[in-house]
Amino acid sequence: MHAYANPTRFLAIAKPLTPWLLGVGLLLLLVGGWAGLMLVPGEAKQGETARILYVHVPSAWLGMGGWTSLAIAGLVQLVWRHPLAGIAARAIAVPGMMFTALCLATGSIWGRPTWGTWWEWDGRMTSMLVLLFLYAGFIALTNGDEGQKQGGTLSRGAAIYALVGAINIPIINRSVVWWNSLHQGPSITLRGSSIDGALLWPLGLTVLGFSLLFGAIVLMRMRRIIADNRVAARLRRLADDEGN
Amino acid sequence: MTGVISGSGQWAYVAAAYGLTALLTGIVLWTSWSAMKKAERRSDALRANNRRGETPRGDRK
Amino acid sequence: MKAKHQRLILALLALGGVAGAGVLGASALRDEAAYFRTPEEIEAGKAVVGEPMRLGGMVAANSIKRQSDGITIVFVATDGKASIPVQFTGIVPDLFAENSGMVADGRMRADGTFVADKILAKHDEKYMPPQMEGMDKAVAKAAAKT
Repeated sequence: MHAYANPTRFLAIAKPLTPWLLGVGLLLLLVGGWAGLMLVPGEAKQGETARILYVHVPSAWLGMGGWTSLAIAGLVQLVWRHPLAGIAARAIAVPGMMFTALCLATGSIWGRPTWGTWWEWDGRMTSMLVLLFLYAGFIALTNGDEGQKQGGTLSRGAAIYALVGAINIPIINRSVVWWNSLHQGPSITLRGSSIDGALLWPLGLTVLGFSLLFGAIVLMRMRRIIADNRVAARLRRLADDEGN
Repeated sequence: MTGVISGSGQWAYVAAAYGLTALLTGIVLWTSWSAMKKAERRSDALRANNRRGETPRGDRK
Repeated sequence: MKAKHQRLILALLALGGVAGAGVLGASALRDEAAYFRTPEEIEAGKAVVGEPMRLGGMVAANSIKRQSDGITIVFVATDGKASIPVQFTGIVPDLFAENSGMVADGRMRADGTFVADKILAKHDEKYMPPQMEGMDKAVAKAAAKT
C-alpha cells in the first residue's frame, strides 16, 4: 500500500491549496487585466495592440514552463518510480497545451496589425507550433483509458517522450537569437527589460496570476487522477474478493 | 506607413485576444473542476460502501 | 538503490545525447532555418538573381521615395554593414517606417535592386509609453550606429 501513502499526504496539502491558488490567481488576473486594458497607456508605436502582451507572454511562459515541468516529472517517474510524478505529468498536459495554443493564437492576433500577417514560418512560430503538437502527442499517449492501463501513472514510453520533447524548449527560447526571425528578440533578459516600467508592471500581475491558475488546474487534474486510481484499485480488490 | 499603429480598429484585435484567453481558460478551468468533483464523489461513495463491510476483507487502507 | 542510480545515469546520458543531437541539428540548420537574408549576406553573394527569397533589414533614414505612380515606393534596406535598394508596389503595414525593421518577400533583379511583392514590418523588443517616443528614437539611432 505504499503507493497510497504519498497521494494521501499530497491530498492533505492539495485540497486546501486548490481554492487558494484559484482565488488569488483570479484576483491577480482581474487586477492585471484591468490595468493592462484600462490603466496603462498604449505603446508608442504599436498603440493599443501592445496590450495583447499581457496575455501573450504568460501563455508563452506557461506553455514552455508546462513542458519543462512535465519533462522533470517524467524524469522523476522514470528514475525514482514516484507515482505522484507520473500523475503530475499527466495533469500538466492539458493546461500546458491550452496555454501553448493561446500563445500561438494571441501572437497571431497581434501579428496581423503589427507585422501585417497572421502567420509566418519563422523559427519562433514554427518551434512553438511543434510544442503544440508535442502536447497533443503526449495527451494521446496518456489520457483516459491509456492512463488507467498504465496503473494510473505514466508509462516508460510516455516519460521518455516527455524527456525527448524537452529539447524543443531551449530551441524555442533561443530561436530568435540563433536564427534571424520575424519575431522580435527577447524583451526581458537577465540584464533587464526593454519594456518600459510604465508598461511592465501589469505583466508581472498577469504572469503571476496565470501561473497560480495553472497550479490550481494542475492540482485539480491530479486530484481527479488520484480519485480515479483509487476507484480502479478498489474495484479491482472487490472483484478479487468475489473471486475468492 | 506612419510607423505608428493608430485608429479604433486596434481594439478589435485586443478584444479578440483577451476574449479568447478568457474563454479557453474558463473552459479548461471548469472541465478540470467538474471532473475532479465527480471523480472524488465517486471515490468517496465507494469507500463509504466498503466501510459498511460489504467485502469480507474490509478496507485494508 | 543501485537500480535507481543506473536508471538515473542512463536517463541523463540519453538526455545529454538528445540535447547534443538537438544542438548539432540546430546549428546545421542555421542557414536553412533563417527566416530572411541580411543585406550583408546578399552582398556576399548568397542571392541568385530571380530566385524567390526574403530580405530583412532596417529601412535607412530618409531613403523612402514614392514613385510618380503613387503606389510604388523605393527605399534602402540596411543592416549597418551593407545596403540594398528595394522597390515595392502595394500597401505596407502601419509600422513600416524609416529607422524601423522590415522583411520583404521578393527577388533580386540583375541591376542589384530587390523587387518585393510583400512587405512585413518587424517590431523590435522595446515597449515604450507614447511620451517617451522621442527617447526611443534616440536609442534606436544610437543602436543603429554601433
